[in-house]
Amino acid sequence: MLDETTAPHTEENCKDLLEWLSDYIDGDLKGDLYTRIKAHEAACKPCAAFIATLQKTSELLLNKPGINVPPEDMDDLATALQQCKSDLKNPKS
Amino acid sequence: MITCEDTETIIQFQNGNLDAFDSLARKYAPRIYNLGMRMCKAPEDAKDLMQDTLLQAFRGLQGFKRESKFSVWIYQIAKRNYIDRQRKNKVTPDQLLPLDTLVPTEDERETLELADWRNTPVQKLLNMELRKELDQAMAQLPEDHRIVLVLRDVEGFTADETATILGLHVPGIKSRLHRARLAIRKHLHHYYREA
Repeated sequence: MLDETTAPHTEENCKDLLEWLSDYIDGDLKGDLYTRIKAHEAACKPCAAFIATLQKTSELLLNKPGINVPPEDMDDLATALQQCKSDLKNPKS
Repeated sequence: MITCEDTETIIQFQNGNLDAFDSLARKYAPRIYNLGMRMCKAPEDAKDLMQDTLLQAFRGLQGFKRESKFSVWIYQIAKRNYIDRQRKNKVTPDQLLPLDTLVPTEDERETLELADWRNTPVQKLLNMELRKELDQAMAQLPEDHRIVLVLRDVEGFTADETATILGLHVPGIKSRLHRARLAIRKHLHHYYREA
């Protein structure tokens, strides 16, 4: 855990921060830990860059366009659903 | 009972309007197909996952009690179908990615501040080449990390919803999500450094 709110950017401090950064960018951190990371982020440029790129990674994934379903696959699904509806309306004895 | 944007359609279906399911199919089939494409290797498997999931949802919707959102319920069905598929291939559970491998290396630390992609708008970054890089990076993740990343960061489910879908505890979801994000971030950092 960080001892100082303005702990310098060292490999040791980096590892201390690392475990909590997703909780931090997701807004799930409260209290002392949040305050410590916030202060460290403000004081340590490499960590600020690391946090910003982690946040950007999450944004890129959320905004990445999906793959279109091939029309023939949607047609097959529609046909299968139609069959299910018929089976439900006209159950076999 | 939980009310969500699909509730009205579900009530119509449960009151006998079977065609009401068509709008749910149009909405969720592409999402389940995309889940399949990210988790399975072959498009045929993604198609089967989509079709099996939607048909099971259709058959089960009459008994759906709205104790969760419809989206969570249908992804639970998809997850069961996916697991069944994987069992046939005898996949063993993955270990958590070790954090040590995801810490910036000495070399990377020196270039962290040069990461100009942090301030570039998302839509500008998301060109075809980057989409391929993201796909490659995701494909390299262990599958139990990948499915958490897909549900949380691609599909936008909350940690609680993701835990419900996968039948895991929230701390386990958070550990996998964090490691998956770190691994993707590392991949992108190398990509931009070399670009």
